[in-house]
Amino acid sequence: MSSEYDMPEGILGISLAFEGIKDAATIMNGPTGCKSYPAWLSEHAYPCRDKECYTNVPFKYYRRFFFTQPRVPCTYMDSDDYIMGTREKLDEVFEDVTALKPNLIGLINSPGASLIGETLTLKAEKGVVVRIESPQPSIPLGIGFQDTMIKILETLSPKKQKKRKGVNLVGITIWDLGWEDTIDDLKDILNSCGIKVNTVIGAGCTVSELRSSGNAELNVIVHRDMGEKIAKWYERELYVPFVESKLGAPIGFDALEDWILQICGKLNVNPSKAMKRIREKRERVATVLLSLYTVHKPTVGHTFSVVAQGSVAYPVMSFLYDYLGLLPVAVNTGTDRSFDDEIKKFVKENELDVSDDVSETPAVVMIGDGVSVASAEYRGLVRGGFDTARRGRTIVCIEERPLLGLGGTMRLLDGVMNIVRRMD
Amino acid sequence: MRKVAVYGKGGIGKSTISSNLTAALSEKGMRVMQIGCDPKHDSTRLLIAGIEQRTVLEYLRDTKENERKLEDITETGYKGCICVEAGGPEPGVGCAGRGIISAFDLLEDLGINEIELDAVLYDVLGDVVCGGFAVPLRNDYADTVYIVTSGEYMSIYAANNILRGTANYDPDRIGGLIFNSRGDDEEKERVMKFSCAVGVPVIAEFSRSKMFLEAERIGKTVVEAFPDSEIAEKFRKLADTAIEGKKHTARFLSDPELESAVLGRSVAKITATEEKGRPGRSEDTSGRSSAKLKETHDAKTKQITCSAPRKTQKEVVHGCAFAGTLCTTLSVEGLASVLHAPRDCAHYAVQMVTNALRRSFTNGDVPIRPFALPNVRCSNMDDADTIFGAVSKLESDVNHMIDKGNDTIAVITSCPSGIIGEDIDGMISRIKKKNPDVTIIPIIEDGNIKGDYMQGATDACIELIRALSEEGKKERSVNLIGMKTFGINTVENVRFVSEVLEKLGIEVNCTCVGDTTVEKIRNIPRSELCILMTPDSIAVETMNFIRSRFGLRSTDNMARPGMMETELWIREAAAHFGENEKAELAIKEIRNEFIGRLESLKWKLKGKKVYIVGMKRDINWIMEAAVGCGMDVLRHVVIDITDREEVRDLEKKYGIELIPGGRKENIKGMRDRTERILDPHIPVDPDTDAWIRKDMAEKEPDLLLSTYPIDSGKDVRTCFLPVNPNVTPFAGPEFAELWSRTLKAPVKEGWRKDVV
Repeated sequence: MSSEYDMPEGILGISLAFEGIKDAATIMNGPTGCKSYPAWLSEHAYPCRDKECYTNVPFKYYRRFFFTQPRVPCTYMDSDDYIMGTREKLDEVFEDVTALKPNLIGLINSPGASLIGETLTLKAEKGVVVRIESPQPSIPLGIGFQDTMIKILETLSPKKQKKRKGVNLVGITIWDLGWEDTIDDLKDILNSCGIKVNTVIGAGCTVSELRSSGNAELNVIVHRDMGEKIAKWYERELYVPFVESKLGAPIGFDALEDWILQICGKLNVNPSKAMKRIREKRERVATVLLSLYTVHKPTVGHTFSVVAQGSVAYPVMSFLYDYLGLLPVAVNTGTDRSFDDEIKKFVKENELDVSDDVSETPAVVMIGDGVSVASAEYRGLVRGGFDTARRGRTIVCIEERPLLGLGGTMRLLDGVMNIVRRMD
Repeated sequence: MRKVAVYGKGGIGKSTISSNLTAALSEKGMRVMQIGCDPKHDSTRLLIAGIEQRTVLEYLRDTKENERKLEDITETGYKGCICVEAGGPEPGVGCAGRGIISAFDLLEDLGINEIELDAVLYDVLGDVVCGGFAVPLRNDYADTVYIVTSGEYMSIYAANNILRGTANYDPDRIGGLIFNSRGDDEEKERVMKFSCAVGVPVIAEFSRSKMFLEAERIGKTVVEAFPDSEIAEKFRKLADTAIEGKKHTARFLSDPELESAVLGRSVAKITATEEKGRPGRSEDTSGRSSAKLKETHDAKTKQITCSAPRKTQKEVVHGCAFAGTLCTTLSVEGLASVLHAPRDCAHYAVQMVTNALRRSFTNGDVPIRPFALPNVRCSNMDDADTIFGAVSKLESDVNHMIDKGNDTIAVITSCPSGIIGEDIDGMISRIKKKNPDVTIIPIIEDGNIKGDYMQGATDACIELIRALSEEGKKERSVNLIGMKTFGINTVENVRFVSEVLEKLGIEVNCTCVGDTTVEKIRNIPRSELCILMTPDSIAVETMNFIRSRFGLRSTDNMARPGMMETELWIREAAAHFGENEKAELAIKEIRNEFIGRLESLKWKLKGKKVYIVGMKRDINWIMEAAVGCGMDVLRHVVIDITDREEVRDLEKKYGIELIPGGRKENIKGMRDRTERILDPHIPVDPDTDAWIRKDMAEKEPDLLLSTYPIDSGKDVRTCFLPVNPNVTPFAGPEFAELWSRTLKAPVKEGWRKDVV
């Protein structure tokens, strides 16, 4: 038994690339079965882009192609269409979507549509259209997302800029839990060093922002598996250099500090203000930990498991081990291999015994997506869980919940330590 | 640069003509590339001295992405021409058309467009049978199309289809017909008639000659082997024509017109006697119309017997049968599921059940236990697998599950598996030979080809029962049929029904199928009676199967929300087991609680005006509560939306009356009132919505019970109707408690003022 199929894959990554652009729309040339999940996900991850359907026009999307979901309409391919093709329906849905006036339309063939060689040719093409005729099945989420984002960029052709200022964040997607809060948190700490974030490529940006995204002085990778290829494209095509922390995404004090230092180093900017803010938080946490220690409630020796993409699993693992003395007992990064070497090295150097079967290894805390955590808690495999990926355990999220940055680090510590304390 | 595609019926001599044309063009000093687009990969053989070339698709399958180089799949042939073979799957497996798409993608990725050329020649397999074989016609691959034909009718028929295929892209690209004679006396006349009818000239003519065979024997083209021959000269002229590049517009004939033009038969006669069933007609082009598909499938697997209502009615197929099947099999403990699908499909479907568990667990509801850790494995079909097939991978996955100790395994197929026609039965036979004690249940849904989500769930129920259930000694038990595996109240509903039955001394055997075990499914025929838990097609179809296979009967009354419906099914079940007295005692107890709960609400709700807008007509449980609390029901509007055909289907197909009449004995007057206020179906659209708003504004209700938010312009407190109310008598009183609390709350919450 395994929960490995809870991790998203490449074709979802394709729709995330389009759906992460504020003024873009996605059309799925395929069955409703291939549409309903990405449509649901998009509406939940990035809600209310069309407020009208929540207020005075409740039935706006109760129609053909949309089937009640405001996002990702489809050609509802059926068995006959596998033989005859969907050309007429594709033209009709395109016209329907064009009327909503998006600034970019992504056309995606489902695997079945691709298999029969559907061409995504339109009778009356209008506006900017990006076609994914052959989505690769069974590839990692990051590949699907990045290849599509590159295709979008190639279509929009951002210009090389001589005058460059600010940075772009690369590798955040709307799949990330609390992606908007994470962006705010990272912007905030970069701003403290005088660094402005221009565009977050593929998460809440607009078509116009993507067109001018060559104006950044530097691209900053947040998640390697979701951003490295895109960053390399910018470097190759627009001569925008990129930077990343070898410690992974900025979660945990060490990884966050390294991330800031790398960026400031590249931009030749003084990092001291950001470092001071992190130092203040470090001292605050240390005070709490000291008070627990003096009443004989240290965190040392408790166990945890991680199921997350490599760029999160690695820094979380090293942070909880180095900083709190928690022991990792299982780690699984799904089909993402981007930090495999670092994780293996970390495990070896610290002589740890770490399984890759997160769904069967007991631990005190599980860090991962809400589904894996719920399953582990329900089965009594773990004492509690802390969600770092969609779907989260929290059903309503009003309070800011950044995954990364200073806020994300404090949230992680709060979550993990409260579960560990339940052992007392 | 000239970009030429050579099409024509299989075996007509395209490769011979293409390679001689390439040779003739090369002799003129042009740098030419010939790409063979035929799975049998022999297009360029005569240009490279008969050597067998490595194909692009073999290379794609066998070589890692970062190790691929263009030079590994190109050969240099006669006079420096470049030769490429796309290749394809073995006969009978995979999708060759899909293979061509992938081959062209790879060639492009490896930089084939960067080679400096004067001409590219695509030698394409047979007819334009699908999108894959049309690749050379699109994306600007070929700017001129030559069609090779003999005078045989089927060859001309294929030529006409190629014109039709070209017309679908850019019709102004036909270079001409190349007549390759078979030696039939009248064939030239037929080709010329066709040429006149479609307005495309014959640009070259070749007759049978031993010279072709002789040249082929030594692995050369005629142009190379017999340079001074008349045939070689003809190819040089054809090369000149190709260089000149004159083009015509693709005009094609309808099938009767073609027969009339070429064979001289009258159109009327043809239409009346022979047109039906001919390729090119939408129903029969592939032999895969829905009825045919089912027939073929049944003949192949002898398993699926239930109908596909949504498919046969040509409705929109909502969700896919693959997901419906998996969500059902995963709810059965002791059953492993192996998917023949891309990993993406596995994620889409598996997350439905794991997320259902997360939702239930987080909300404090009781989840379906097997959803906590789905016992599933997927063959993770990738791009190459959708070309070459991946039954061996699937076989390995099934064997892996057997090695892990699973002895009951469902094999479920996705769209790609269905499109390329994977042989699942053969794989299962091989495994069963080695593992006779293992039960493998093929559920061949082929994604959504078999139907929608409901169809998949229905098929899964039936196939599991067919494969597992065994007749045996009858037990004093019932099966509950038609579980909602996603309802957050499923487990609670079963608990209520089970507790009532326990009071009558009756056990529940199988909750079919959801939150159950292989063992309980095995015992289904041993129960004496079935009770339907929902009026949907899953329950009805499954029950029909159980009835026909094992002679089991079900109660006429389903377990539905509401006091009256509860009394009906309890009495009926009790009568079957001769437990009428116990039933009356149980009913009395339930009824007392029911009435007590309503009485406690009466003083809060009496006289309040309520307006109901819902999608279901089955609202007796709401009416019980409203009337029971003395509320004034102003109107019940049943809205009907296009993608919720379930209720109408059931009425049409099974004659189920969802608001049965003639049951007035329970709460006096209630049934009459329900029927009187019921409006006919009102399809929902902006006009209907406006009508409802206006009607509501006039009637001024205190409370709106609705499926969706309705702004009538006046402040009305709203409670939303549950999608799946509890199947207990207390669903109404529980809902009414919410009404009473809502009526005490402010009519407009403060946050509404903050909405931007």
